[in-house]
Amino acid sequence: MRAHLRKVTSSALLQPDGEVWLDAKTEQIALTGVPVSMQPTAFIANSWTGKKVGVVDSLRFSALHNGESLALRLEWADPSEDLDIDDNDHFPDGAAVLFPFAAGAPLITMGSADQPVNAWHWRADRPGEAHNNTARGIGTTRVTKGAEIQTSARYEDGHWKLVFLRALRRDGIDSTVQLTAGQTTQIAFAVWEGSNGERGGLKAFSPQWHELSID
Amino acid sequence: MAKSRTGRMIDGAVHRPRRQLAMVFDLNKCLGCHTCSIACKTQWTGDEGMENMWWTVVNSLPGKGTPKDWEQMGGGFDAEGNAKPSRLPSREEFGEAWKFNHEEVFAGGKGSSTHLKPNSNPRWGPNWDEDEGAGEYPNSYYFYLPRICNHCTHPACLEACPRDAILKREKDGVVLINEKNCKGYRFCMEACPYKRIYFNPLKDTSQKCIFCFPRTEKGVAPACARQCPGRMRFVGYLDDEQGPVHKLVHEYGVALPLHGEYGTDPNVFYVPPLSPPRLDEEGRIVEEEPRIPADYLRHLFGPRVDGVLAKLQEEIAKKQRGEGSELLDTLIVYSWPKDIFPDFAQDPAELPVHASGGQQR
Ligand code: SF4
Ligand code: SF4
Repeated sequence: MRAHLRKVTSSALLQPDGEVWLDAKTEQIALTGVPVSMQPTAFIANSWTGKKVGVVDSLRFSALHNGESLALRLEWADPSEDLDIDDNDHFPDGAAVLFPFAAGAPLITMGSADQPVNAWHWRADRPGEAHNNTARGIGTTRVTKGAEIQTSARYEDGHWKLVFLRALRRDGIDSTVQLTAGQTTQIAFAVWEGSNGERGGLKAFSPQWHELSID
Repeated sequence: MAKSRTGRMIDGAVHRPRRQLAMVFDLNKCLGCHTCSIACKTQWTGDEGMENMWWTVVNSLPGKGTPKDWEQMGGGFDAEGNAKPSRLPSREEFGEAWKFNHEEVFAGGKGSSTHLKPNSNPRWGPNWDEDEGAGEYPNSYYFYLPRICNHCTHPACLEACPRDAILKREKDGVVLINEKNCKGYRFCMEACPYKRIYFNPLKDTSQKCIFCFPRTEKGVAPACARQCPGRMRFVGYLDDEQGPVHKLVHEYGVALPLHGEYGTDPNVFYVPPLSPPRLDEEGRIVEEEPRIPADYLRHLFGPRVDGVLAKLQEEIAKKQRGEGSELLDTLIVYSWPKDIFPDFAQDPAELPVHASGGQQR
């Protein structure tokens, strides 16, 4: 995927239904459920044996930037809008994009001790923001402040449309990836379907890194 | 990142803490007054997001308990040590924190035309089974069962967490949720076969009984134990051979875990309830048949319960004959607090108040 340059404001990029996205290139990203055998505890594996993990099987991805900020647009089909954690068995819909801090970080294990990864994580019960996570292996994600990732999401006709927007550079913040025009990096995706009880490693993900070039 | 070891099954053996704090609840002394619940609520669960939490709850038995029908939900481990699936209890099954029409009754001029009642129409609550019991008159029966987190030797909650957010302390075996690591996934809540974990939707974390560790670390007994008017909650280290907890569990062997078959090896033990004998159709006493059916107690406390009840009867008979009974003396607690939590007899009111070091409640 190439993130083309568009001379528009960042707030224009942040609109999932904004005009700027109409002619943006989109790529279909196939997702697959994290296998039960990879779930990090026996309780989770035993509880999900024979059940479908990761019910969302694909998403459409577009990317644009305006020289200052990068915008990533994700759209996927989801028959139920799950917005809250008001009851013990309510889990919200969610999505994340993942970047390696340096090329070659392992994706399947969410990074490793010396090859960390950076996840921008949106949840439907936390509108407007995404959590900036760093991870060094399964179960090690840590939320850190200062990355300032904005989000805007709309649920319509059985689809989520979501934009992540972040300044290319976040000088002085080393817990999030630094991006520059002209750079090619890698990106991966995850989607959580709340109504299926998906949280943590119970999710659909893109099993390979995809290339992302910033024009 | 290395995972914590204490409380985990590693290579077929559970890694035990250096010492284990435990409680014994003498069900023959429980009044069903809920003072423990209020003590805990006042101490720990008064914040927003915690309104419906009762880290200690008193259930009337027989009954469906808190959360409703928790014994049917699964979790824990099977005989081979495999984690068993379960499900998440809903807030309604625990019981919501009802709001009442205080305003209307006390200030709204309707004091004599309406009564104090919840504004909602609740269908379950923390002790919904109150006053029900079972059995036919004159053989009806009930008893109280206080429940807290069992600070299990092999905690299902800890094993279920993918983030290593639950730890069992090496120094005293207390099981704690590290809220900094918890992401509100609720696998622990699902896995705990006793359903003693609550979810705080405002903090997006799971929360539960902490065995009052900030108190025990200062030699003060847990709030629920210290406030208990029935003086039925014994507290101590399981390996302290002079302490009442060790004596009741290991020496006299009269305190049993609840549903030991759930496989988590609880560290809360119960002295099972004695009951008066049944009456037959003619109203004659049937000496050998207690009103609380033995089967029901076996279901709760396992096959050893018959022996325990027999032993308690024997000791009572001894005492009636004027012979001494160390076991009964231990249960009676002649001298409070030293006979009930000797290591935690410190009066909290007499502790120095710290200039710094956080809030004192
Ligand atoms: S009672 Fe439940 S919450 Fe407490 S330690 Fe045992 S498994 Fe964990
Ligand atoms: S030990 Fe403390 S935290 Fe646990 S139930 Fe008793 S009062 Fe509550």
